[in-house]
Amino acid sequence: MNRITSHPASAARLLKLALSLALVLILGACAHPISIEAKSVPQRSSSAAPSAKKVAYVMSDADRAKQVTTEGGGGDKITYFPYRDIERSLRAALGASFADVSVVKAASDLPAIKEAGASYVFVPDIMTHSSSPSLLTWPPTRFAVTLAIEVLDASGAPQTKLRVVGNGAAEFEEFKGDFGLAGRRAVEAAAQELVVELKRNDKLR
Amino acid sequence: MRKLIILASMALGTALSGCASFVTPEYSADYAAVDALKRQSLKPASVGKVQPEDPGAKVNNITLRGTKLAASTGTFALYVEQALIRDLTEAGLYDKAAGKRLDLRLVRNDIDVSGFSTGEGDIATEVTVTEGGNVLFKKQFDAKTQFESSFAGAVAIPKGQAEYPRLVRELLSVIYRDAGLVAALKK
Repeated sequence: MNRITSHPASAARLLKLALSLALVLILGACAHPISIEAKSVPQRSSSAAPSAKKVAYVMSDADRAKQVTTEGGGGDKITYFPYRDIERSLRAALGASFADVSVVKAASDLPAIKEAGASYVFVPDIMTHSSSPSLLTWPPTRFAVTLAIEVLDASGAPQTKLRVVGNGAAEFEEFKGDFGLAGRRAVEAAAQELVVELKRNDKLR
Repeated sequence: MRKLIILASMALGTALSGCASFVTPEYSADYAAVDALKRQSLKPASVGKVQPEDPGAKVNNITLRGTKLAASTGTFALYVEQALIRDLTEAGLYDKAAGKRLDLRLVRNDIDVSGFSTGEGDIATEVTVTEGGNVLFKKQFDAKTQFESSFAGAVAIPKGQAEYPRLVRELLSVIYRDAGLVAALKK
C-alpha cells in the first residue's frame, strides 16, 4: 500500500522551485523597455537657406502610443515606442529644410493642413530592426531605422516618396545604463540622411 | 508579508538593474500644443531659472525602487527649464532679452513604480509671468500620468525612466493650453 507523506523540507524545496520557475517566467515573458530618443537632432544650417515653404507631418496620438517589440541579445526582446521617440528628429529634419513645420493628426485633416499653411504633407511609416550577437546580455548592439515617407500636396495628391535608412551600433562597454544607445544612433543617422534626401529631391523645391 | 514582498522586489530590482545609473531620456514636446501656441501671435518671452536650483531639494530627487533616476541636465528643475526654452524657441517665442518673463517653481515631481502593475507620474509647478516688476499671471499647474509597470524591477525601473519626459511633456502642454497664460503672453 502506498502512503503519501508530507515532509516540510521537500515542501520548502518545491516552493523554492516553483518561485524560481515563476520568476523565470515573469522575466522571460517581459520585454526590456528602452528609449531610442535622439540626443542630437538636425539643425538649420546658417549657410544654406531652407526652402521658404511651410510643411506639415502626420502623427496621431495612436501613432505615438504604438509600441513595438524587436530582438535584443541573449534571446531576449526589447520594447519601445518608435513614433513617439522619433518625432522630434523627424520634425527637426523637416525644420532644417523648410521655413516652418507643423504637426497634423491625419493626412485627411484638410482644415488643419490649411491652418498650417502647408505646401507639403509628410506621412511617415517607421520600421525598425534590432539584434545582438551576445548570448549573455539583452541590449541590442545593432539597430536599423527605416523612414518611408509619402509626400502629399495640401489637397492630398501624392507628390513623391522618400525612403531613408539609419544604422546604429553600440558595444556593451558603451551602454553605461543607456541601453537604447544603438537605437538612438540609428535615429540620429536616419534624421541626418533625411535632411540630405530632402535637399536632393527635385520635386520638393 | 506585503512589506516583505516589496522589500524582496526592491532587492530584486536593484540586483537585476545591476550598477547601471538611470538617466532621463531627452525631452520631446507635445508639438500640437507648441504649434497652437505658435499661431497665437504672442510676444516673445524670456525664461527665469526654474526653482529650486538646489540639487538636494526633494523635487530634484527621484528614486525608482531604490535606484536613483538622474536628470540628464543635472537637476529636474533644469530639465523642465530647458524643455520650456526648447518649446518656446520652436514656437518662435523665446527671447532671452525679452522684458516679459516666465518663472517656474517645481512643487511636486515624482515617478512612482512601487506598484506591480501600474506606475504613476506626478508633477506640479507654479508659473508666474512678469513684466517690469508687474505680475501678469500666477497659477499652479498639475499633471499626472499612468503607465504599465511590472513586478520585475528590470522592467519597472526603465519604464519609470522612460516616463519622465512624457510627464514633463504633459505638464508643459497643459500650461501652453491655458487661456490665462496665453492672454498674459499677448499683453
